Amino acid sequence: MLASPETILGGLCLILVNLLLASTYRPEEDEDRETVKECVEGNRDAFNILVEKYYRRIYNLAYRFVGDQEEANDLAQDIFTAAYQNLKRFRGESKFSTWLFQIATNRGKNRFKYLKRRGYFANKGPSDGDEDREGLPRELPDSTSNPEDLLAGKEIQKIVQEAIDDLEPDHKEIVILRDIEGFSYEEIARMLNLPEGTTKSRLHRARMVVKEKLKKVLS
Amino acid sequence: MSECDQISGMFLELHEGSVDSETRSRCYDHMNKCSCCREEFQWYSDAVKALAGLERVSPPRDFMVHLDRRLDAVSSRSWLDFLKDLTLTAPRMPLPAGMAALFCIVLIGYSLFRQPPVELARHSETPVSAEVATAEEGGKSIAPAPRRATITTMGGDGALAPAYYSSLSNPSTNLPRIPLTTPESGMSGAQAAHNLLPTVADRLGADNLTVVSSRPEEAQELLKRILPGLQGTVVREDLRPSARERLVRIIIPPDAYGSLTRALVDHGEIESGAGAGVDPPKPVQEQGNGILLYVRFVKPQ
Repeated sequence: MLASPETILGGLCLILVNLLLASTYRPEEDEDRETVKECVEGNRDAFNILVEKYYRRIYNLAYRFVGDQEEANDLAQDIFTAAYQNLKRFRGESKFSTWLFQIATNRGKNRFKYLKRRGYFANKGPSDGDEDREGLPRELPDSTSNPEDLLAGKEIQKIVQEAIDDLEPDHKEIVILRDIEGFSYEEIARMLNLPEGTTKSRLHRARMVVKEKLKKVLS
Repeated sequence: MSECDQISGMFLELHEGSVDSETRSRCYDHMNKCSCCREEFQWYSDAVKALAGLERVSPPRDFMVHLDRRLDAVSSRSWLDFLKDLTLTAPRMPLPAGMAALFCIVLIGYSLFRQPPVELARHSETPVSAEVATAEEGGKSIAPAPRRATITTMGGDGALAPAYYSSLSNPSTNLPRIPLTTPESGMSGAQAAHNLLPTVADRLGADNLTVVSSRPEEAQELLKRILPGLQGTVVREDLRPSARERLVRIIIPPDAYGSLTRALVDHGEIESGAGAGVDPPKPVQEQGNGILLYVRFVKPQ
């Protein structure tokens, strides 16, 4: 059965629109593009440049996932090793940093789940000095002021990290990416392959959990 | 849903200032009246502030050194690891690798199928060999044993043709020195030498055949029927009444030997050689482009 002229015309218009969209599409500007290209060609020094640029942030992210320096060190190295091995599969559709943090988030989440299954966080338990927290100030201290405030600030940091440890993996990754690493919702949605709305609602729930934890300890 | 719940559901937008002015003023109006919501929002803001204010943890000093070692280890992977990745890890590789493996298997299978059965037999181990009863090394006497050969068959349509085994068909066989007489068998040295020397049959991988069948007449008729299809001809037919056996002398192309045995095996048990008797058939000979051989049909004992 032959299609009607309207259907054919409609189809042609659709193809034309797609072609126009494709012609106007430009991949995201990526400052690491050239360095990544060199890496793919087998230049190890180029990869070292990328490591040098990102390892502090990746390490910090790893630490926030596992809450332990030694584990974070291993996890961060694991993340870079995975990136190095999979660099040939990086198609440049997103920024290298987005791709790297996507690997980091996935690995971090998996490591967190693994450690949780093995009772790692239960064994760690609440950190020392839970009783001392009773004396902590209601207001969040300014860590640049006197030693007392500095100590209180350290304690708050510990409480917040514990609150992060208690979060569900899906909430945890968003809190880390948004509130700690400062990625935009758009970037987070792309990294986690989630709609922006879902990203925001998960972040809100995660923040509410942290809020309750802080409130419970500090009030 | 109470208004407080609605307000608490909008903490994220309120904190980030991503609500329109009307909603914003409505929320703040509510919080001015409701201390609970006001306090909750304050805690929410504090939590966000605390999260954002977490200190950045510095990696250990030797981080880069350890990572470098780890990357070195990854870079210097063995070819076994490469193969493992090729077949297991890389998402796009298993399919081409599998296809290549399948192609290789089909190719090997096809080449084996196309190989003449006799060739197959020659390449395989020799289950029965012409044996020398006693070997002479450094002057010891040698007595050649009677030559034995076996045809093994695999029945059914399309099965491989009977495989023929004979160590004498191997041209590399080192023949021992033949004595003049062989005390055990009573054969003359010449006869023994004749049994040991490579014959045309050995070279071609064919031999005279004996078909042991309960209905030898039918088997003989079958032979005559299939010969034209094999480009072969009957040269002579003999009935040997004393021995109750039929002897047919035929010429076939050398490559038709497998097909011949495959057809005959459906009509009886096949043995190599056409028996001894009073007038033993001669060994297989070359006749033009074909081979001349005897097929003996006998009833089972």
